[in-house]
Amino acid sequence: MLENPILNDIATLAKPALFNIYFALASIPVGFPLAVLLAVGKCQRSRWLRWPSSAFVYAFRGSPLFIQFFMVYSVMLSFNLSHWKPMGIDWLVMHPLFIGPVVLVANTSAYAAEIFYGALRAVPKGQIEAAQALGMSRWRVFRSVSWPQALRLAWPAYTNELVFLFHATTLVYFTLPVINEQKDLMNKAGELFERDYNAVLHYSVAALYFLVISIVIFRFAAWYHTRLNRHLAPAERPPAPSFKPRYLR
Amino acid sequence: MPPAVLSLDNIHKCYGANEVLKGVSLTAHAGDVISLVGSSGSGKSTLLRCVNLLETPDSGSIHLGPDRVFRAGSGPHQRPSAEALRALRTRVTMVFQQFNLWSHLSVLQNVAEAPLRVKGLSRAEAFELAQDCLDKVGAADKADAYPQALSGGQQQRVAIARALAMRPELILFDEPTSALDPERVGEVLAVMRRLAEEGTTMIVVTHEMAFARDVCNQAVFLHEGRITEAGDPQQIFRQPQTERLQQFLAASLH
Amino acid sequence: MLESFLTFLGQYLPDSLMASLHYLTSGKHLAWYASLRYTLGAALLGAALAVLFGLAGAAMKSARFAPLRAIGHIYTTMVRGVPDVLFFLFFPLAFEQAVEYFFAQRLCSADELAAAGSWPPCQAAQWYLGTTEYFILACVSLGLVYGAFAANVIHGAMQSVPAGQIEAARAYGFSDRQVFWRFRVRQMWVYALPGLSNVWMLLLKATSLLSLLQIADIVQWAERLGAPNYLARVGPVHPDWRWKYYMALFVFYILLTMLSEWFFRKLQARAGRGILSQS
Repeated sequence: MLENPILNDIATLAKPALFNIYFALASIPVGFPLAVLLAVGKCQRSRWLRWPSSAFVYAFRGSPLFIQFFMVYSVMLSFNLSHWKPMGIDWLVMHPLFIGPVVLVANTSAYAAEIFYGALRAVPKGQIEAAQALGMSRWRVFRSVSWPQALRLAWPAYTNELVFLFHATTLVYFTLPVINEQKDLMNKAGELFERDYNAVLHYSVAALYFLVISIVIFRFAAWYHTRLNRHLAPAERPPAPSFKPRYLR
Repeated sequence: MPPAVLSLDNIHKCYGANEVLKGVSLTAHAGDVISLVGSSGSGKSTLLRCVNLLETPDSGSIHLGPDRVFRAGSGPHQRPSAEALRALRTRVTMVFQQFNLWSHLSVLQNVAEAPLRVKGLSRAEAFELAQDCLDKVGAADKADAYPQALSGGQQQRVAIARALAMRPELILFDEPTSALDPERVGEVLAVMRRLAEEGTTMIVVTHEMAFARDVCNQAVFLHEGRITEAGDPQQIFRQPQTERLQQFLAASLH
Repeated sequence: MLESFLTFLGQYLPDSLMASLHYLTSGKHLAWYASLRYTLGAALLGAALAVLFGLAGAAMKSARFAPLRAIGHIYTTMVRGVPDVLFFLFFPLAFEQAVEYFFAQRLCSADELAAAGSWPPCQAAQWYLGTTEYFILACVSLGLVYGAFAANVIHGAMQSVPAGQIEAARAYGFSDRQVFWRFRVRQMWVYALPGLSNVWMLLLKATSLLSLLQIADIVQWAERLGAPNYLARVGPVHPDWRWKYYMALFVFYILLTMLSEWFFRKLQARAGRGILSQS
């Protein structure tokens, strides 16, 4: 035990912070490609491709993540005895470390899809026509022209979404069962609070963890932003993602 | 000689190290129509903005009639009191190059707003007055439109009506035709000419040399923050005394 | 009245449908529908406070006095870096403790105050928060958190008001206060509305968190109603139906979002008269 209560809290909350980081990191690799797919789906002319993507994006952006967690968990639970247990995968699919990322993926991909969709539509038409005029296939146009530009346009807003995703990880253990000592920052801060009723100390340290990790995300995103835009002269570069609330979720 | 409406005494204004006005003195008598001419950067817009204290002069004093409305103190950024500003601005109004009509108000409301809220007229009085002023500039039929639906010339005429509705002692015009399409310039100048004939006291920053020569009874040539030449426009434009004015006139006649 | 209405319907509708109707109008279900007042009340009150905090925050961010500006800046960035749930839980707790601390200094003996360990130091200082208190505190936290977002939106929108029009207002003798309220704030709404509508959507979704503060809101009732239900008289009524109830909430919130979008479209069209080009 450390003498200083603040240092003590920082040490105690280090492991719980890993759970928040895990939930965010586990969701990004699936959430990102899914978001791109959904965004492309929304751009399609065919109603059968466009409609499902739009509906998915609208539903998951239009409802609270808190409810989404409850909904997905209870649906999974209703299949537990009939399907998961007989298949012998209940230990995996009913585990918060699995369901958590599943819901977060659905949620973040909907928000990110809307961002990418907006960016794809903002790519100058002339450049796409130029690519088509050179005989590129639709896939080639997307891969070489539309997507690279859209990513650059969307990057600051996507950075913002990553921070929101990280913050959204706090909801996992408010809605899913806590197993043994697997606790995230909010759980642990709440537990510490129950012990000595020092709300200011414990919640401030938890807030500090969120603040610092959010800043790290922004720093990383700003670095990558510069890399993405290295073809532009420094003066022409769009403003990098910064720790300024320019975007809303 | 009619009484003095405005007298500026030794007005100085700096932006950082850049001295824009280097001691300008000027008097406008009732009924005067004074044109302020000069190349861009000569300080003529700044001088105009100093008159109604949109810019605070660094030194010098301003009199309206017999009342001293401004005198620079020791500090460079001394702000006049709110009451003094309000009093001054109800007596001196301004017409801007970019019209600056308030886009959330209809044309009639634009004209009535300041008489209503600044001078404290009743609603009925203010709107009747506004309607009269719109009549005067020939924009009565646009009373219920929003400014953005109007052409530039119409907007500027409404802006003139807005200035008239304050029943000011003096109207300042800051390049009123510079933002207009060439074919719209005439309608605005015609309104200003009629005001001049009615005896309205005006100071006009302008590039319209014909207007300055034919309508104004006084022309003031500003160069690098100083009044270089002033007098009867017919005379000083025909026989400029300084080389600066000669160059300026040659350039503006192409 | 409800009973007689159901009897009336029973003459015309098939029995299976009537059974569902009876089930959905049970006392507990009526309590569920009634709990909507917390959700909608928190959304509206929270939004009103958010706009107030937003205006205050925006005014501070553009204040001439540097310390005020710093406070505005810290307020808006703090909320940015920390999850809303944390504020939502922390603020009511901190407020409760602050009040208890205040009373403890007056009501508890010196010995009790010196003895650390339990909170509050003595029973007399204990403040029991009921649903109403929690509800108000929840609204204030919603207002604080989303007020920070609103402050940014409003601050940005104020910068978008054309400078020339503000200058014209000054030139016509309007006082600083008149210029601020009658011109800057009046025109600001139009530029702020898209952003504020976004803040409203976030706030609306955040009302689902009320149950975290022990408020029996629609989420908590959904949990109670959906849980496996046995009645001694009838036997099992239904198995675990929570998924049905949560799905209903999911759809309900989507409908609320649609309604809000429609409303803000109307509002934008109204507020934008004259300011946004008619095309």
